[in-house]
Amino acid sequence: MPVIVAIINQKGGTGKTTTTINLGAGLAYQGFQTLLVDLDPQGHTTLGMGVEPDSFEESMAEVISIPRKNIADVILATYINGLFLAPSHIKLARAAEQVYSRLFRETILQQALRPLDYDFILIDCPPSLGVLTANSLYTSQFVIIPCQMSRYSLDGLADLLTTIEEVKNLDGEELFSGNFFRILLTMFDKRNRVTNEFILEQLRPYLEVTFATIIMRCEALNQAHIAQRAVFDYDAKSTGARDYYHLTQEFLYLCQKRNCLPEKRPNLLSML
Amino acid sequence: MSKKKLLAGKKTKLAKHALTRALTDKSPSIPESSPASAPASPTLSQVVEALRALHEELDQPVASSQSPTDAPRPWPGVEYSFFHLVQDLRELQELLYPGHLPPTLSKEWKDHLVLPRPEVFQKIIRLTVATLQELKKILN
Repeated sequence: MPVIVAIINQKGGTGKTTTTINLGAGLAYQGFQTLLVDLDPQGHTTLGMGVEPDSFEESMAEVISIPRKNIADVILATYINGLFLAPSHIKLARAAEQVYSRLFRETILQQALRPLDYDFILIDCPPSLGVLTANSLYTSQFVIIPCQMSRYSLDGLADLLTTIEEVKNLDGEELFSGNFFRILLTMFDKRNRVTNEFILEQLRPYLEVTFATIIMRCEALNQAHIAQRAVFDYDAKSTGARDYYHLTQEFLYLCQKRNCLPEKRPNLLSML
Repeated sequence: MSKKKLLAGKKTKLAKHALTRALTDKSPSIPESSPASAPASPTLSQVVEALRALHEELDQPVASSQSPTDAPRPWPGVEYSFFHLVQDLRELQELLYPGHLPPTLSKEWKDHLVLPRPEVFQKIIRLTVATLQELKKILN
């Protein structure tokens, strides 16, 4: 039974795709079979893994729009051993509109992922709170919310918490105590002292559900996107590689605390 | 007016969210300790001396311990987290007391990545507190 994780924030540019790719790569390098599901019609995770939109015939667009479409038909192996990708295509935006008339439309992704046998499935969500995000929330056991150090990211977080409460049919405190989500601070620049203090003060009540790992602003992460590689392969000594390595470790520790760590012994030294 | 004052009291959507309010109401207020009851912070020379002793202790027993594959792993990555805690602490100390300490841990220690004994763990935490107290004094 895979651990399904949605990476969500309806504000754009908060680091969802970067987190999906690099956490996924981190888990695969630790020896876990990992699937990245690109649910953003912009297809940035697909591109970021070096897969061009014209290089495949079927994508998540077909999985969402065609009833009982087998997701295994669209999954591709990536250049990283143990890391797989269900690619996205711009057609997914139209497909998402078409499913609004379908019954149980929030369960489409859950039905599609059910037969899969991976250790982890990471879903990169679009920057919106539409049917695709609702599908991700419905099927996932855990949510990572990348949060940039900006005021609008906090507003996005508030809206997202409300949506999670609605989809999961839980009140906020149940959500909090159930350890269902974790906030990940991204693009942290320690020179922005006043902004950082303000944002951290606002997030103080959520300290318990914020990853201890903070992703610092790092040029290597941007360059890795251009190179279409995970940051570990682009610049293993960069701050970005170090931060995502720590995030991988912290995430695995959380899984262990929740008794959902897949029973495989990861090779901790494989990334050095 | 300072930028900080301009931002003070500004409420975001998150601050108004029901969950934030519930969590804020629930969290216990932190009592302010009076100067009389606060433990005396160590002097600079005491901290440096304690650090020197810790360096010797860290380097010796770990280098002779079992290999990482033999050692039991309580949970993944904890050795790395501990290693980086110590490394970050040393960087902080280097800022505070430049020249007093070697900048990085010994290579042997890094290669083994085995958790130290609980009492060494405890010393690391105490030293972190002492170093931060020292830093606070300097900043004041």
